[in-house]
Amino acid sequence: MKYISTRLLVNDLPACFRFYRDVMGFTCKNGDENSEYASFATGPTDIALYRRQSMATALGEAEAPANPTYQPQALLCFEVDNVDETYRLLMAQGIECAAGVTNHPDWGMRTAHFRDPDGNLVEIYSDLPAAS
Amino acid sequence: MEYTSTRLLVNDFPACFRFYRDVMGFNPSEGKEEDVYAYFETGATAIELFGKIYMADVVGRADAPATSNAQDGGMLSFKVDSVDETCQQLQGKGVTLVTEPTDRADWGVRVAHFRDPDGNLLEIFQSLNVQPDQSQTA
Repeated sequence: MKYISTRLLVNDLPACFRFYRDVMGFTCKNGDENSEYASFATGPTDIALYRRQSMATALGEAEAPANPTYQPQALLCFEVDNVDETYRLLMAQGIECAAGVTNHPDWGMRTAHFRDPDGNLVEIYSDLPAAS
Repeated sequence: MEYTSTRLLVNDFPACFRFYRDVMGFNPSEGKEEDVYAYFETGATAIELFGKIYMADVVGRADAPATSNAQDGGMLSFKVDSVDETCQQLQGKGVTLVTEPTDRADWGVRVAHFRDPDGNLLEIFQSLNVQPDQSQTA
């Protein structure tokens, strides 16, 4: 059982495609802005995009609401060298903030949270120095 | 920028903990059933579990409803040797399939879908012998 990809089921595929390629800077493996499906090389596990309505249809859920605001159900987590600098670069591109740069001593992490164009929650973090 | 983990934000932590450990068979290198956080090694990107309300609080969504019957917003996809065999094993552990093993020629895979105890959508797949043309990256 190998964890191959996280597939985000998105309402706005072109905007999300541009976000993961241009803002996050990942190399596209399959698809383009206009396709039904796209995937990005992000390391051992890929991030893929697929049109939400298409997946809902495949599962027989097509009648359910597509775009409500609920507590987030999952987030994608990325390790970076410098949270402050990465966050500043992201915000300069007009990305939607979810929670600014914060130390979480209980997590052992410095984090920042933002959203992709479909509202998916993304975290960047670096480890806090171990307390002595 | 390294993709290190997918963190599932769950309502029923103990049930999800048991599911990822006992049904999916991943090793929890951090966390226990009675905790609110766990880290599962998958051999690739990690899968983490975290109590949903804690993360909702961090990002200012604590007042939003916790559960929905909306269309799925994400899915974890796992490659297996045999979809049919793995489905049998999963069903033997009480998993209900959302879709039975099906050849999806348009996707190039044989595939089945099921859910973890919190409703997160999971897929297992094997490649079909005939590979789709994936060279069309316009």
